[in-house]
Amino acid sequence: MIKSKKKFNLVRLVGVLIIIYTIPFFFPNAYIAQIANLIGIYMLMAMSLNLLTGFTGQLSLGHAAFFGVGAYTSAIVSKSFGLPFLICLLIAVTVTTITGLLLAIPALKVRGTYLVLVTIAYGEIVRLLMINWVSLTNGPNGIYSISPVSIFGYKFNDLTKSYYLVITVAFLIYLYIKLLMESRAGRAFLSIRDDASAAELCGVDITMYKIKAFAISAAISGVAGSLYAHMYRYISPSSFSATQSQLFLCMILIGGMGTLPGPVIGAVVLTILPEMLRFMQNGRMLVYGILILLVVIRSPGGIAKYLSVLIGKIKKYVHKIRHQRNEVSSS
Amino acid sequence: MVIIQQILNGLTMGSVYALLGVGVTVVYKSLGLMNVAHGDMMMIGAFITLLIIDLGVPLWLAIILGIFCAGMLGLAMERFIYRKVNYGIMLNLMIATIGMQIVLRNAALVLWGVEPKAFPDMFSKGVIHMGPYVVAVRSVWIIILALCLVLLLQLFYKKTRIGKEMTVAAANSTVASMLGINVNLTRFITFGIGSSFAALTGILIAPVYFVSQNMGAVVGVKALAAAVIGGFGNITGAFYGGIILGIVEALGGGLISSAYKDIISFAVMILVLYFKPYGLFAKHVDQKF
Amino acid sequence: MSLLKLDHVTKRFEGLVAVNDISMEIQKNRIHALIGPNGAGKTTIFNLITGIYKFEGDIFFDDILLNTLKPHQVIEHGIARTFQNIRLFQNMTAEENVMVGYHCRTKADVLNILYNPKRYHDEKVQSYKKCAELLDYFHLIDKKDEMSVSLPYGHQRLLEIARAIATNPRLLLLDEPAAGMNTEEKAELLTTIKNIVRDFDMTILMIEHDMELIMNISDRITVLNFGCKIAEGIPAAIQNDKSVVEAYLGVEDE
Repeated sequence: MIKSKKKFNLVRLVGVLIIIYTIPFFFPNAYIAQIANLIGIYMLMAMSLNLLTGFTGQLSLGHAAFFGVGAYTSAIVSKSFGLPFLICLLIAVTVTTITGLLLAIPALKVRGTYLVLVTIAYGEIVRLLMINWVSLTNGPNGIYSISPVSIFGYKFNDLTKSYYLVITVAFLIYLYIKLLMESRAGRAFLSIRDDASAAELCGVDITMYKIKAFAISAAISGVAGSLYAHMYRYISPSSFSATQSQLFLCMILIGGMGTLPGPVIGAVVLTILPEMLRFMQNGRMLVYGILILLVVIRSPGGIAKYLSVLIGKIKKYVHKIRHQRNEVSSS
Repeated sequence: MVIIQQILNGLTMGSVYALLGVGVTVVYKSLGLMNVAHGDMMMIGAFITLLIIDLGVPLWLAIILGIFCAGMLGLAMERFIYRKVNYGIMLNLMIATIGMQIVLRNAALVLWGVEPKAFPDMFSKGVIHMGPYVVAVRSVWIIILALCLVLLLQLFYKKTRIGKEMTVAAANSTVASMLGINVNLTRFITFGIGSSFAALTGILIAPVYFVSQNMGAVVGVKALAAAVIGGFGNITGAFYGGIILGIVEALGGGLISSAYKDIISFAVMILVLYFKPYGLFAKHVDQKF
Repeated sequence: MSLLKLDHVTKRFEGLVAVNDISMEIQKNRIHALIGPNGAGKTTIFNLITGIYKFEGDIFFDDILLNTLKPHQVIEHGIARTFQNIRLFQNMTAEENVMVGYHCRTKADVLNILYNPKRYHDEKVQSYKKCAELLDYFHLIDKKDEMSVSLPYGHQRLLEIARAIATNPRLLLLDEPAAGMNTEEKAELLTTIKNIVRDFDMTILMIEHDMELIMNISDRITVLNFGCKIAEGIPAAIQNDKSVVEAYLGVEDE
């Protein structure tokens, strides 16, 4: 249910752009800048997962695998062939999309509950390959000294520059997804989520659209992975575990699955929260798990839904006050 | 012959997968829900038992109490959490099990830390020689236990009144309630049974694999694989599925590479799902696509 | 020349013969009813036509053989259907539900919206316009932004029909469209169906249990029992057919 607003809200757009582009001036130190970068990358991953799971209803618990494939491909290609970043990015996206299509093949044939299994298995296979295929991936030690992001000679080698890059990419992807979901293809995805067989009997080629959902989702993850590899300059299998997949799912669930702002909110909340909960080192994920249960039981729309309901109530209240004021002044 | 030895090795893990797979299937039959957290129930069961042992309780009593407590925990989970989720929307329910998985694993992490803990052995460490082949005593026990328990479960479903009611409730909850069957109760009991099975499995493998917060991770997925290979909802199928998975894994590990053993299991599962989406033992389904 | 032709169609489900050697023809612009006791195979025939199962025999739509087509391809060729239990998209509004119906008649897609934005914007505007007209036709226009599941039952049924018509079919399969309706609603439905045939150049194949509705509206009736065709003809003939009465009421004891 993504209905395009009839009036294009330029004010809101400019406001958002101002906020996201001036934030770096408020970075007190490199550590915060680092977090901001990570938020940007996680936003991409959350949006990617939301497209597949939130909008198309294909529950995936293996998205860290796409992230990892993107990161490793980019790193390996960069280190082995010394290719410029954009080429590495392109190759990473292509390879990740191909793995997404590979995952789509069994996914097409199985129903929802089996699908999660396949994604979990897929995630495990990728992780095990990362650890065991030492000649390619350097095993558990990971890959060091990956060259920084460099586009046409301009090096994004400090945290503020890379933040601008990441947040711009995230913004563009957000716009694309918004455009997509408000279009015919978006409705096709949503119809698959709601009732795939009925959608098929309305003329939607559900096979093709599931494949497209997997492909686009994987491609976005590939971008995120590649950016991650060249920003952090070091990757290891431990960043791409099942826990990471669960974290991505938490982000969209808590932020609001199946909404546009949901993954963005989720990425922000679930990256900042651990910093605030530093004292609860091990208990962090526990809190997320509990949050998920709470969200699923009480408010399946997540924070996004909660906020929109809240905003709706505030609007009604303001309207009521204005109405009363008019009555008073006219008497 | 190396192959036969590998097959014998595979039977042991296979029985473990079979037991877990049957536990998952029981829950699936009742709720239509695939419990992703089943492996973690196993882990919690093992930890609870360990806790009881540390209190000084003799091993066999501790095991019984541990299984009982895990069963109670399962009952509580159904009653206070899963029941609150709308059973009609499968996606929400799946997410709830994922949330539960995160809670269980991290609660264990918080309570018991990251170091794997030793678990006292309930079987002797001996081996039996069958001609040129060697089988651990433990393995024999596990295989026999798995067989007996699954048979008992089958009998329960086919012969007892509650068992039959649970089968009806699983097939069609609306019809079942019209027949006067308390569907909530059947779901409730199912979770208790599933959790107990899981805990028992955890206890069986704990002496060898140690008890740690992520012991359920890989084994849990294989349990799901067993249930899937056997055809969802099919208890006997899950049993055979687990055995087959164990044997395939052992053969793959022995003949190809033991590092890639797990990859082989997962790849097998995906392949089976691709060619036979309803499982190896499911009846012939003739939809066009 | 018949619009839809079933030629010795049989469907077996593991030993159970759900549809047994059925042959029938449906003429253009007719309202053809398919009746029979529960389990007679009526919905199965709908499922065969729309490409859900493999079957023996042939089904022709105009000159096109439907046997090997996937469901969405059948819809593209011009057959649409509604369901016994309403299957609207629950997380979409009434308008969005109907918009899904336009999917197979439009082209905007995941990549081409990027390199031809104007064309697909125009296509979108056109679709919303046609959608509004269609909703208006069914008197649902003022409810277009309501969630489909919150509409009253009768309106949901109409919405499902609207969604089916959005796919621009030549043949409309209605599966128990009057189920759960009261007398007033059924009378309105009768008029609506007749109007649809006239206004959309439609042919209708309808499964129904309400005899009065069937007799009033059908041009031709096919009666099934246990997967076999036991009678076929104009309403008056069917009404007096002994085997039909037996099928529904059972044989009288001698």
